[in-house]
Amino acid sequence: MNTEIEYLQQLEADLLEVSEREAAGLPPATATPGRRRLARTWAKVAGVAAAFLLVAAAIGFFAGGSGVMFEADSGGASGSDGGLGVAQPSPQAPEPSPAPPGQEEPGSQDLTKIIRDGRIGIVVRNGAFGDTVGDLTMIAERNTGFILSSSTNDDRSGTFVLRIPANRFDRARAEIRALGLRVRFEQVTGEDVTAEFIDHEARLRILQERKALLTELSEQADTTEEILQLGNQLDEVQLQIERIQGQLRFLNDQVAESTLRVVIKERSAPAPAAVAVVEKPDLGSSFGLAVQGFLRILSAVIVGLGYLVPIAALGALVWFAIVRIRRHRAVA
Amino acid sequence: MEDQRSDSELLTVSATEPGAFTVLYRRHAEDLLRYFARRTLDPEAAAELTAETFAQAFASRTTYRDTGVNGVAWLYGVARHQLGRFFRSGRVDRAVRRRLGMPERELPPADYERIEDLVDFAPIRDAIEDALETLGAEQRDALRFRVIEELPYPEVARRLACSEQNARQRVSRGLRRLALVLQEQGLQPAMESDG
Repeated sequence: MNTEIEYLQQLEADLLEVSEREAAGLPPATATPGRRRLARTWAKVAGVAAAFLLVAAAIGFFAGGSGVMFEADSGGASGSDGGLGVAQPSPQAPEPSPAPPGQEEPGSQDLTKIIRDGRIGIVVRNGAFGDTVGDLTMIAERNTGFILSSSTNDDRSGTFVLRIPANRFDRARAEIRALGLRVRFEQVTGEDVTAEFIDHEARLRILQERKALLTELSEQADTTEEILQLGNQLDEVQLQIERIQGQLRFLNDQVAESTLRVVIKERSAPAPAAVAVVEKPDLGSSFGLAVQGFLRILSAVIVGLGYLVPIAALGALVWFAIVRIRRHRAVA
Repeated sequence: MEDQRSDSELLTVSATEPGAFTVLYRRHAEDLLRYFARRTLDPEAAAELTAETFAQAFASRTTYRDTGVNGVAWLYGVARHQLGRFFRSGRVDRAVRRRLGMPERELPPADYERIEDLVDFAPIRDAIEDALETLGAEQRDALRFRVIEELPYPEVARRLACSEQNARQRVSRGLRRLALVLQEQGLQPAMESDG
């Protein structure tokens, strides 16, 4: 070849080699095998799809689409309030208006055999943590409740466990919600113990009747042996009666007073570490949490896609327009 | 002994006799390189465009149909397509060379000057001087020394206080940028018809 340009000489050699390989029916020397190329293409597609879903999940998570809300952990503090760190989605029941002081909330009689607990997390303005804690104490006292335990972090965030009479529960929640700039999370749970209560009452009645019968028999007993035997039976029945009465008292206390866990955080306070503590862990609850976690992640991805797909479509349109304009300019 | 077959015949025969394609290559490689060099002003881009054009032509040669038009026109049709893609995307495609298993080759240092010699800068020297003002300082100085003052690369490298290889790269990239600027101003160093 009549050229001094080495590159063209090398290119000629390369083309010659390609020609010879083709003439010999051999595959390209360093060409990527079809299957590997296909695998690479799929790997790229999978990578892009994974990244897309990851971004969607992140967007969905921050948009609150997962329903996963971690409450503040009082790490290193003196508080002793355990419980589930993973909050359940708050039931969006209509909030009853706070009753005037001293007046019971309407319809509260229906809740006498239901144990109601709640969690609420609020964000307050910077520097307002101390004042908010004072207000929280006043809310507890105004609703004839009290603060059972508390823990704080650097006087900028903290967790407080309140015991509030059940008939003031919704009113207290509404007042606490009003303390914050915004509500980070809210959860209310209700446990119906009516059946358990009725069962205990029935057993108590039977035991009391038995006690009365044993007492009557004891009075009619003639021999020492009969007196001792009936006395033992009476002691045992009395013990069972006291045990059931204790359980009924405990249930009544639980029904009468609700536990409200309040997490207060200043706006720019560092986010406390999220924890997911399972009370009395067992395989069943672990599996349940795993399923819930999966569904929440799925939910976050779906919500995130709702945001991401229109943005991606808009981006594609803009990109398409830019390409068209550049081509138009190139042609011009 | 030189092959007497026409370009069209070579292209047609190369479908069953791949070796015939290299004859076509020997005939037109340098002209095609000049064609690209005059349009891109960039030795690296011109060399790569030449390689990709011949690779594309080789891969597509079975689609060539002799309709009475010289085969070289078909080759330059492929070249124009590659050039258009280069100006749109700012880079040379390597897809066909990769598919054929052709190695990626760097432009040998000595080839920079040889390819620049293929470009006749004289008619556009004034336009280049104006266009230089639109470039960054490094590329502008490199081009001024090399294209305007026509200094050899060792001297360009000495004045830029860099290696010869680095000087070549600066000139190459500056020329590529310059070609785009000139194209935007309608001052392409060579038009389609003079390929």
